[in-house]
Amino acid sequence: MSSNALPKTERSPNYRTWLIAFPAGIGLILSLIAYFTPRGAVAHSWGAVLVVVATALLCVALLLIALTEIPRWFVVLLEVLIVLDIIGTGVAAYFLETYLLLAFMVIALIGWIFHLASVSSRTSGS
Amino acid sequence: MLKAAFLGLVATAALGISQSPAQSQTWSTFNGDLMAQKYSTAAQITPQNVKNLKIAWQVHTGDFSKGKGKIPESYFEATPIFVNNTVYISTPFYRVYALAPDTGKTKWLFDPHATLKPLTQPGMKSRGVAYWQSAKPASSRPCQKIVYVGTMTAQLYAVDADTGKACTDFGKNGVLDIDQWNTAKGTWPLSILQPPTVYKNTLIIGWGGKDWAIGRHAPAGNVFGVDAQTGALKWTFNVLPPEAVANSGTANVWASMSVDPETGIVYLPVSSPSPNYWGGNRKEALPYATSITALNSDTGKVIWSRQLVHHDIWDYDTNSAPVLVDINKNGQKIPALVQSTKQGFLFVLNRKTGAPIYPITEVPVPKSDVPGEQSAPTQPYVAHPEPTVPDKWTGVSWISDLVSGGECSRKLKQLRYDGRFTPPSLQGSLEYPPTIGGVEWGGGAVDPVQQIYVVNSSYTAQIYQLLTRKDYEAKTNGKSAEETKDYYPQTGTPYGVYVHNFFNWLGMACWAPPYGTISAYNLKTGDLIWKKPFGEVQFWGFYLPKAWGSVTIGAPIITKSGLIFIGGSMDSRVRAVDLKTGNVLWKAQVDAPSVAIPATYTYKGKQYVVFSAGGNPLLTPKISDQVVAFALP
Repeated sequence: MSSNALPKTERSPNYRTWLIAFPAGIGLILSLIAYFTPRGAVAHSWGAVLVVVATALLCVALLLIALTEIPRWFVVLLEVLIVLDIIGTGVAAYFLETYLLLAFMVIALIGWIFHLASVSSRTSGS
Repeated sequence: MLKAAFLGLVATAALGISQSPAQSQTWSTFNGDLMAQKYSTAAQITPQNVKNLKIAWQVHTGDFSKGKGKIPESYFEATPIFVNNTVYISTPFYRVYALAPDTGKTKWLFDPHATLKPLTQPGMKSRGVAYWQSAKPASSRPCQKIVYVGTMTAQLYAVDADTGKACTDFGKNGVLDIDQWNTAKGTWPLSILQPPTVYKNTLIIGWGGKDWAIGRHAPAGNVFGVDAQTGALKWTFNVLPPEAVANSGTANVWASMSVDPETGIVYLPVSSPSPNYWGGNRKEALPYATSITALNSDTGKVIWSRQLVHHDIWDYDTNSAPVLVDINKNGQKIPALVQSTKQGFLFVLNRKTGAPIYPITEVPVPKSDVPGEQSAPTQPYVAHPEPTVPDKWTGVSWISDLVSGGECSRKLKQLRYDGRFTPPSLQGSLEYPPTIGGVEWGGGAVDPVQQIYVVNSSYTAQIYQLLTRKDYEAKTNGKSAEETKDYYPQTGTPYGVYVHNFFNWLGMACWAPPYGTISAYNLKTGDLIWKKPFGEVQFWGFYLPKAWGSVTIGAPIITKSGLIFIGGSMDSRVRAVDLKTGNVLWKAQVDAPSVAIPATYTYKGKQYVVFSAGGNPLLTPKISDQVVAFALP
């Protein structure tokens, strides 16, 4: 384990992390449905591809944070990318008029804020 | 009010269609009725319950092509008609479906095994079928009710409406070859893409073609009156005077027509003469070109005509059937017609005389600077009712300009733009509105009782650039017009032409929104009642802001209950709009943009609204073969 990796307790997934992971996973499923739905409003569009890729990357980033040992700087980088991903996917969902996906991105954003607050409080408390 | 209802009955009677209480509302022609009002007295679906509409049935005809194989791309633009207790619709491959009105189940299918080649159009196209019924049907004889479908190869098929079998007394074994009357044989066929107009026992037939050649290279525009049962020619109306035929062509009638069932006058929307963008060869007076022309439907003789564009070098075809309606103005009831145009003008005329009801003024317009061209010094202009498209273009879209690194602004600086009627030029001219409209071939709809006229309209910009023959050959490498998208040879003239949308390299519109609107006018005063952005642009799946609207093809229909039904938007949605306010009350997703005029009818006490969702590459690449009917649960 590298010296700047997070301690095991901080890496363990908690309900706050799942608050991001759950809507992200649902978002991926919704995006796939939007892309593959026969005769759907955004089926096979580049916009649908974009949200599929964005939500898939979101899931991967969350799994990396939750389940692997990674350096702290990388965690911070991922946390920044995650919030950008969530906001970007939300904006894309708005313009794709896939409002359920937008709703789950709002939940994910709330989860991210909780997650950040949690990490922040533990860091300041240690 | 009573007269409107009476005329509706007369219009129905003119087609020989009887009505019983059980089947109260038909949709018997492309435009709903002969007067092209696109109005139905059906009132079961109301502004209050329209939100409950559900799909009652849908059919996929199987006739569509993305143009990747041997069959060209399909443009499914057919308006279904409902008559004889059956829904009839043709496909882009010229097959005719007869469908049960309540289930969509196929009663019969007629296949003419037509040639599927893009002989006059870039893709396969049919705008529907026509229907005739004998006033005195002889029982036990077939073909007392006939459905007609035309093809791109100029063949008009007559089919028994009850059985789908060919009517062998019509033409030769049920097929009439319109191309026998082609004045430039061997060039291209007189394509029958629009169903004929049926009035009593006469079929009035126009045709579509290509507008980029002259003389022996292009047929001269003509319209035929033929016997509905035999196909025998009754009369021909030649649009171009004989002395002009060598130097021009077309000025044909490719759009639908309307008929006043009281007087038997047929109204022709006459298109522009060829070639579209260069008139240096055609200096003769062509009074019927780009006009609205009224004929006696028995004889084909001209009753009156009004030219809507002089010396047309913009391809401003008169492109839809005029809507016939009586207007109460200043205490008088005036038999009127409303002709929408690609320029967004609404010409409101007395349909018996052609005299304007609202003023038409001749305004000076920019002069052509192309050697050899003699553009008209003035053009007809209608200020009231307010044109659907503004006189000045909306300017460069800052977003398109920004993301393309200023490409839009740079292009604009190279172009000539002097407002409406800027003539085509060698440097390239910005046209706003251009040939794609304005108002497209569906035209408008009218509520004859309230005398409210509704029309959808696009805000688009194109660039017309004339090319010397040498430059044209260099740009196209000697390829044919079919192979060179946006380049047209204008054979027989010194110039080819390059016509294209004003887009940046990303395919984004360089002009600022809005892109499409829907408007309602009070015909008694000519005043605009409301005007709203219509539809949404969908780009890569993303919907652009509602306030921008969408480029729109297709047309509205109106019901007595105060609803407007319309497809026609890039977002593949169909909508119900409140006639009073213009607010969207209901919308549904369909497979592709519904660019056809919808239809509505009542069968066994239930009202249906039917859309063909076929798409059109002018809007989006999305195409389909879907016919979908909505009804209340």
